[in-house]
Amino acid sequence: MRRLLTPGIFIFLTLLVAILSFMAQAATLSFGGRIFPMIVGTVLVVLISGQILMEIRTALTGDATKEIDRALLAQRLVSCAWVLGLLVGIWLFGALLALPAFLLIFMLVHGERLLLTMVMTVVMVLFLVFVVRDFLHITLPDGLVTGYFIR
Amino acid sequence: MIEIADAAWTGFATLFSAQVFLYLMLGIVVGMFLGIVPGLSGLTGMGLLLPFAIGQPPEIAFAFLLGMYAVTTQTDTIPAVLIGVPGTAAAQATYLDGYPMAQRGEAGRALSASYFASIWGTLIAAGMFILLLPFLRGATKFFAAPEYFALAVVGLIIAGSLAGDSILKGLIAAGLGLAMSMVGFAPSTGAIRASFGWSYLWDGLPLVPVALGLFAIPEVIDLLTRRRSISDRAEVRGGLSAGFFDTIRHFWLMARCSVIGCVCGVIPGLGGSVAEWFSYGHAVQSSRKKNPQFGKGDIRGVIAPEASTAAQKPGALVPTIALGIPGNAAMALLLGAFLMTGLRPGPEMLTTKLALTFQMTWTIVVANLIAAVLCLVLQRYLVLLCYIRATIIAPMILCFMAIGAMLATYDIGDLVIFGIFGAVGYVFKHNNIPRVPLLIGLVLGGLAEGYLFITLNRYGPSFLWERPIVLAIGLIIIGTIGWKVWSRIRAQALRARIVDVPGRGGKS
Repeated sequence: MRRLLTPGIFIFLTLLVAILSFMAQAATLSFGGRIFPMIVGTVLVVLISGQILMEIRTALTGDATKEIDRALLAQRLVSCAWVLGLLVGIWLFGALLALPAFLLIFMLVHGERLLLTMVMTVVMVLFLVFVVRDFLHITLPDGLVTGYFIR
Repeated sequence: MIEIADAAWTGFATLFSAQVFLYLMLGIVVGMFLGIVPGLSGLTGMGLLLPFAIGQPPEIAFAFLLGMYAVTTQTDTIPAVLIGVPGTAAAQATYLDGYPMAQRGEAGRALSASYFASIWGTLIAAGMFILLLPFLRGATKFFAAPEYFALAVVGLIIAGSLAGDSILKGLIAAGLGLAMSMVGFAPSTGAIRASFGWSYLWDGLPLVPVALGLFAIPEVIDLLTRRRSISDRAEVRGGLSAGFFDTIRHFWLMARCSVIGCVCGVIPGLGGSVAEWFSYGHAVQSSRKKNPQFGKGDIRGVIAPEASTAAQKPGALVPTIALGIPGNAAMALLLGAFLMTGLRPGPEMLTTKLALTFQMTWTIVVANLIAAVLCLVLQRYLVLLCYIRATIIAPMILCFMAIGAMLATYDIGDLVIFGIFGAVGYVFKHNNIPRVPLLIGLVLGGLAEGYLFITLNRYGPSFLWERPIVLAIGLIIIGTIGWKVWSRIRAQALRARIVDVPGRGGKS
């Protein structure tokens, strides 16, 4: 049974559940609204089921002693955490604060020179203020925390 | 014919008007940078620049976007030749012969040949486009909603079948793209679909955060994971005229490869890297008796793929402009730009908006010419960009991507979609599930559903057997899937036969 716990099977099972819930939601609509989702959904269910069967076959016949590179996995997780951290930072504090702060923290943590880090951070602030806000007239969304104080 | 010549001239003159040319130059500079830095590409650039181009007049927006997109495959040769690291996936074949040439002191010749091959490739493809134009103008007159619906389906199925190794995974990705396009208001009834109670999704999934998430986040995560710069610098001096005369000496090879590239551009789902490998294979095959040194530093191994990737870009523009079927993921984003700037691909682009169509073609040609000159003059300094550490470049790119993603609707929801599709893109990339059909499905889904709705109301289901073009397109769909399945079965049978042969490590 443990042989069947492969990323491929997990991914396609998740997709299957997502498509089935998509079809269930579409089934409540009128004929015009549901016809296209039901056709595409049905075709997808057939294709994904076929892929799951192929993944199971590969899992049962393939080499089960595949080594996982734990160091690489840890590095990838750390990289993903940085990206997630930036997105959460923007959500909480807004782009104007979160982006320069992210740049500053990231470069300092990774041992970049202080002067270079400061210059890059200042360039980012100038870009956000003068190019994005003043030149392009773009208002980036406020963060949850900063928005609360502004209101 | 006079009308075409007039539009060609108007398009050319517009490109050289002060404001348009300024944006073109800006696009070229950004594109050159994206091409040189390994891990970034024209597609990332298209996603990054798209929000900044929206709101500008179409002449400026397309000069900016296409100027950037056209030159990424020209500068990606610099790291491929000089330090053995292809700047984008489309420079991998060039690396095979370009890098050995650099190691034996012929870097200047290899780079010069690649720039001139790119220029020739673009010119040949632009020439093909102009030759095909009267035919395209005539052909689109026979197209109505059923044909456009069939074309959208064939575009999706071809993209799904040809992108990646597995036809099933490709078709699943294309289907998922279609399903994603149905989020929000249904065009026929106005009913809200799959919004999960989130009002942000009522207008559907925004293209830019989805595309940036799918394609750019995985690249940046991989850049962050590598965390190192590239060393062992190679010197580059001279070789300008030698490279130019190499392209003249192998002109017919270059012309054939340009045609291959152009055709690969027209077929949805193939893209630059497929064009490049096809051409490299053709160069190897057609040069068997001419003392080839492929893989050890043969100049034909540089010229063939570079001409092909350059020609692929005007090629990909043809179905996008004329039929609204994007040839690759970057063209899917460009199609998004069309819709956002109020333009509709199709017959209009070949008649009343022909000057704009020509301007786009000239943009690719002129951008390649300018980039080639800049590369020849500055390549000694441009290569230094390859040495910027990932810990400097990756967070900067990530910040610009986040800004780009938030410009779609200025809502925090853009950021959520950007993050979710970043995760999806990362999982897909590392599990060999093609992402190009997914994006093409998302772009084409809305159009396909609209056309299907009109078709069913106007013609009923009989359009499937009563309209000859739809029937022909149906045959193309069956042929594509049949060919792909047959070639897979044949490859498996061949592999089994090799394993069965005693002494080949199989069942002896």
